[in-house]
Amino acid sequence: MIDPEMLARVAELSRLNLDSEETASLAADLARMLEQFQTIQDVDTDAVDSLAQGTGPHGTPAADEPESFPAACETLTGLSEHARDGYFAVPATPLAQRPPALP
Amino acid sequence: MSPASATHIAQQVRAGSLDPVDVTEAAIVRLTERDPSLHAYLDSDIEFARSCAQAVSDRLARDEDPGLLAGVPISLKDNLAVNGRTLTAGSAMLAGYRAPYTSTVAERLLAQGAVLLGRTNLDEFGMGASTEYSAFGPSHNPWDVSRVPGGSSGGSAAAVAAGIVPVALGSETGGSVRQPASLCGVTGFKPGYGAVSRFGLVAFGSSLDQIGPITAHAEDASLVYDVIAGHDPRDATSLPGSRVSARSTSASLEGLKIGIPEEFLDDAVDERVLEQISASLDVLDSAGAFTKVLKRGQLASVQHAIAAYYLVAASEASSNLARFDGMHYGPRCGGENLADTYAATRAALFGPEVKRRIMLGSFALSAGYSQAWYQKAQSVRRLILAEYTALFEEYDLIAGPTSPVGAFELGERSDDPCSMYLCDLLTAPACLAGLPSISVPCGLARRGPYKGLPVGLCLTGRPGDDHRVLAAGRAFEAARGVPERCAMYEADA
Repeated sequence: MIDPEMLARVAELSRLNLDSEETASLAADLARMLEQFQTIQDVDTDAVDSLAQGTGPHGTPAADEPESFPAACETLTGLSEHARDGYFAVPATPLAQRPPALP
Repeated sequence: MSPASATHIAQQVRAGSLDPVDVTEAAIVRLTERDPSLHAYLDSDIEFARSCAQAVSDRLARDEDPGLLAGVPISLKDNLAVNGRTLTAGSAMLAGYRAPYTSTVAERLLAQGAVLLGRTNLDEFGMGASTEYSAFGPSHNPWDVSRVPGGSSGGSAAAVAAGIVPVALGSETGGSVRQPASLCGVTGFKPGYGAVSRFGLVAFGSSLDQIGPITAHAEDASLVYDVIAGHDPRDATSLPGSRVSARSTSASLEGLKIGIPEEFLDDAVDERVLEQISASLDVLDSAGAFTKVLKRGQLASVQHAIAAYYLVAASEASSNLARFDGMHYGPRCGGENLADTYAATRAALFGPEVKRRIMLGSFALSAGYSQAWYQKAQSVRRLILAEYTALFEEYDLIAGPTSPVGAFELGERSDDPCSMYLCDLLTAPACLAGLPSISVPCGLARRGPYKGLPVGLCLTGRPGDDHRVLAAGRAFEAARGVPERCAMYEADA
């Protein structure tokens, strides 16, 4: 079900740099999981809506209101040993690997 | 001695007949003596606990109300934030991280006079059923330290079962409060979705995660729920309005109609577990409830609950855990550029189970596959809720075993993820449907591989019936008697 090309794609999506031993182990695990979960395909869900969360009929989630966070910059950059001058310092990304600018 | 109930401690402290500082010192002694053989704790907050106790003492001296949990030692699963304290979620990814704010549940506990003693071990990011997937080593079951305490809130359950604290908080995505409670012989309650704020909980599966109490006495689950439940504008999934007090809800089984789906009693459940469940149904009947085993088919979709749960939870985990990339906090592993650094850091610092679930989730959400897997799982989830809803037309509660097995040996399942996933067989359905559900101790297995180990009875209620489910748990404990305790719980400290 998951060929090596697909596995490499999933690892890329997962942002996991896997070595060959780990790749082989995860391939076997994923194959077993999907085999076990395959039975779900037998369920007739043609006329069934999906359920995104279990709040049920009892209420509607509240609005997601932003809240101010005192001294956010200092507090959050203070969590990282890689922060400098109020910013998170990150490794450079070569121009060729940067996503295209938004129109 | 092991602690009295939280309810009793708080009453005595409020009445001035028990000194919160003495209560705390006794808990510190128990932690110091008992945890080395359990590894229930990832970090103890001894000085912080002493300052909490002193604050309660000061409030009493000023004639102020010390709160509903005055002087009660409580521990938190280490995926709940407390400002300035370490917060690892059981992961090397967060080793050394200190939370910059306090979770709503911790705020509410502290406001009611609780004494926070430390943070407990868990499977990495809550992914597991034994604590063996913790990056910091497994916890041990106080009934038999060669066995797992369950998971992912295994540290919390072990701490309570060992008598270190009367109450600990856990979190549950697919069974992580109730299953360890069952394996350790204590009470565990998963609130209905939206009843308790998750602000300050490290997210795993956001449509499933709930925070709940693990307690040595069923009445304490009601007390703690009343403190931590309620609307919180900082959690968008927190339901509006007030919650009905569980403590004020009559603890009676008289006249309750309780259905037991045959699907919960099938061959996947160990026969020694079923013996105790059968005895529990007699207790329920003797206390005035009407129990009925429901013919196979009325909750038919639960046979697909494990598949639906793991596909949904892994998908959400793959999204939630994308934030752990070494850029904003935690250690960073070298890479030639930004993308390489992300991938190298995540590969080096996530454990194998977390990687499995991220990979599964990325696959289930990927273009060309999401309809067949993720959307399919969400539709099955709808079917499960619909079947529960139909049953609740006739029954007040749905009952069954909490776990298909008792506490298993360390290492027995850790190399076999599919085997570990089956631990969630009986708890995942209520999580998918967002229903309140409690596990209460119902006896010890009499023979076989789990001989002398605890078994839990699970009671699940309608949406919004958290208070009734908790009251039913209290009533069951009152009808059956005080649960059996392990030797460590009974030992003098």
